[in-house]
Amino acid sequence: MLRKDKFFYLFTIVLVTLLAVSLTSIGAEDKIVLVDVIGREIVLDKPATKVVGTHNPTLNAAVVLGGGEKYIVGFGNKEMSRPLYEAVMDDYDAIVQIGKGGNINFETVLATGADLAIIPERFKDQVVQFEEVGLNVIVALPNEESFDTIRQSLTLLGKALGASDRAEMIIGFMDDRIENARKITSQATDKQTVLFLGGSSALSVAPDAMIQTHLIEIAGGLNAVSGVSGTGNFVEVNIEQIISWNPDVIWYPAYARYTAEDLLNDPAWSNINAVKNKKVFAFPSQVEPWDQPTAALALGIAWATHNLHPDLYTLDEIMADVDNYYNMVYGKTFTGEQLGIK
Amino acid sequence: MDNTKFRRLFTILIVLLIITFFISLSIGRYSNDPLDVLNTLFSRAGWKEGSNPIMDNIVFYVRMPRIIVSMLVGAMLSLSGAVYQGVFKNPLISPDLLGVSSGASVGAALAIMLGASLAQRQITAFLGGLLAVSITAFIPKLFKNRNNMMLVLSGIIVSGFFCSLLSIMKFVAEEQTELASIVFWQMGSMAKVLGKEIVAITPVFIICTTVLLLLSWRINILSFGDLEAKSLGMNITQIRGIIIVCASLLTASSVSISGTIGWIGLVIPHLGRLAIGTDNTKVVPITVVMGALFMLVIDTLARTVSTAEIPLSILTGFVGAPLFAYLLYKQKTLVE
Repeated sequence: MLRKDKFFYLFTIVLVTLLAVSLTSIGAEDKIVLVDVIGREIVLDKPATKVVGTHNPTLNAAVVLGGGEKYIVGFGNKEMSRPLYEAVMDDYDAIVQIGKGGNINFETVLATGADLAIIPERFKDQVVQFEEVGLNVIVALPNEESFDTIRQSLTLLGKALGASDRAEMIIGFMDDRIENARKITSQATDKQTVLFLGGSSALSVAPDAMIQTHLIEIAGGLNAVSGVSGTGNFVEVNIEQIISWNPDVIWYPAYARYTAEDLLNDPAWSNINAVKNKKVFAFPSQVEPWDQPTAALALGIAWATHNLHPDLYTLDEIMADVDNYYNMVYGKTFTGEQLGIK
Repeated sequence: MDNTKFRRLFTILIVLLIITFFISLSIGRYSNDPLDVLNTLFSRAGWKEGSNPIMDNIVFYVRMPRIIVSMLVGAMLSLSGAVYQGVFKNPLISPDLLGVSSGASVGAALAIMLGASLAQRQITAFLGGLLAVSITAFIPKLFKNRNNMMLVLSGIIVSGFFCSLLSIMKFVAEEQTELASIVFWQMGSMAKVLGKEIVAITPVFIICTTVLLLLSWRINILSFGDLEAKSLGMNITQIRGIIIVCASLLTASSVSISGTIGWIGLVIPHLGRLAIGTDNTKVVPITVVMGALFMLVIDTLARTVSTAEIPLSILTGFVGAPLFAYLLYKQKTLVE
């Protein structure tokens, strides 16, 4: 009898222990554990559904993963990418502006009912403020920009929003365009030097640490800028420095306040190769910037490759890529005219 | 004896300015070889054949306009600082006393946000500066109190108001284009100077400098005090008004071209007084040349020391603040 009792008690203990462990692990499987780009661990009880942010490239990842305004309840700068967002969101103007850059109205944030804030590393001081008002915060974009950081931010946010499959699909598209660019440029015989100017001034240039350098290199060019250090920001130089670099090609953002004609007609620029050969181009697009660390950079890669090697990669091929991307992400397409691509 | 010392100093400064001009013309990010510049100059003069078109472009379209404008701006800011300090009998006064810099900053920011061209930006900055000064001059009339202190206080009020306006504009501005432009403009730079700026500010410089040189002995009389000046038969209101208008025009023109540049209008007049004494008939011309020389050196450093363009206010602050401390030390009896 005694032996039977001992067995029964032992069996009960083991059964209860197994039950407790399985219940705990069921709870644990529901939680989402993330490590953001500055090494912070964030635990979400469930995928986030309402996201806020003020940095356009960072917030763009959430827009792309939602195919529009699905996850977005609060925006920062509403003018950058306005043409795109107005086209893919039902009521872009109705989305609340929670602040600009580093200045955020946290009462407005609370009023949106947001459960997640996504910010770039340069705004990491806001982490404490968001957490104090009860929001989870993911620092999704590091200061140093590269294709890996875009993959990282899409993967991170994909997990946070329960949209990992979609994130993988979009990353796959970008990787595909990078691979395509590499194949095309391997056939090219020369490398042109490219100068990427900033939007605020024709005398601001993109240093090594910016995504523009990676764009230029993957498209088979060389960044004309040298001797300039800086992370994530365009740097002001003088015209003599640009003459010294003497780029073969000049790209400037489509949202810049100056145009190609301003440079082509300025006598101070007249001896630069790019100006002499009229190779000054607005980097697309007029719908959203393709030169920022966002998913649309994949299209920037395609255009940059075409611009430097038009004989190896035609305009029709770019437009096919553009249609594929916008169809995949938003279920719609844009014409070359709308995008500002000739 | 004083006149001899003045003539000697003035001559030395002019010679230094000419030498610095040629040194500055010879150095830059493209080439630091003076022979390249000499060959270019000789080719232009027809004394030599076979010019290098790139060096020609750099010397005549890039460096020379910038060098000339930096000398003019330095001279204008220093001169307006000197006359303000004389008229208001206060050695701590600088050209932005009456709100010119703040008004010009608002004008420039407005132009940037409206997507205006560089030339339009310079015009709106100039008009903004003049608007600020006009409001500053109007407030004492409104309160029927025209003494110097009221004018200075009005300047503080107007500067404060325009600074707030500028802050609103910065808050509303688009971060990646407009805000970056406004902030860089505020720090002062000659990087965007082209030849037409010389045409824009030279008439203002010539006319206002001539008027102020001619009135410099009256600034001496104003420094004795209002009663003494009146007893000597001077129309204080008229003379002070003309001097302030000229100084404001000089400041507004400079700021509209280069953005706000600190310290030069405060420090250079003191340096002038340390060198030549307090007689404004000598301080004014000495200050003009010293200001031109100082700004030329600063701008040359700004465009050559590193690949990135260094804002002028950073350099004038680094040099001007310790220099001002030294001047205060040298003039410590005056301070006491």
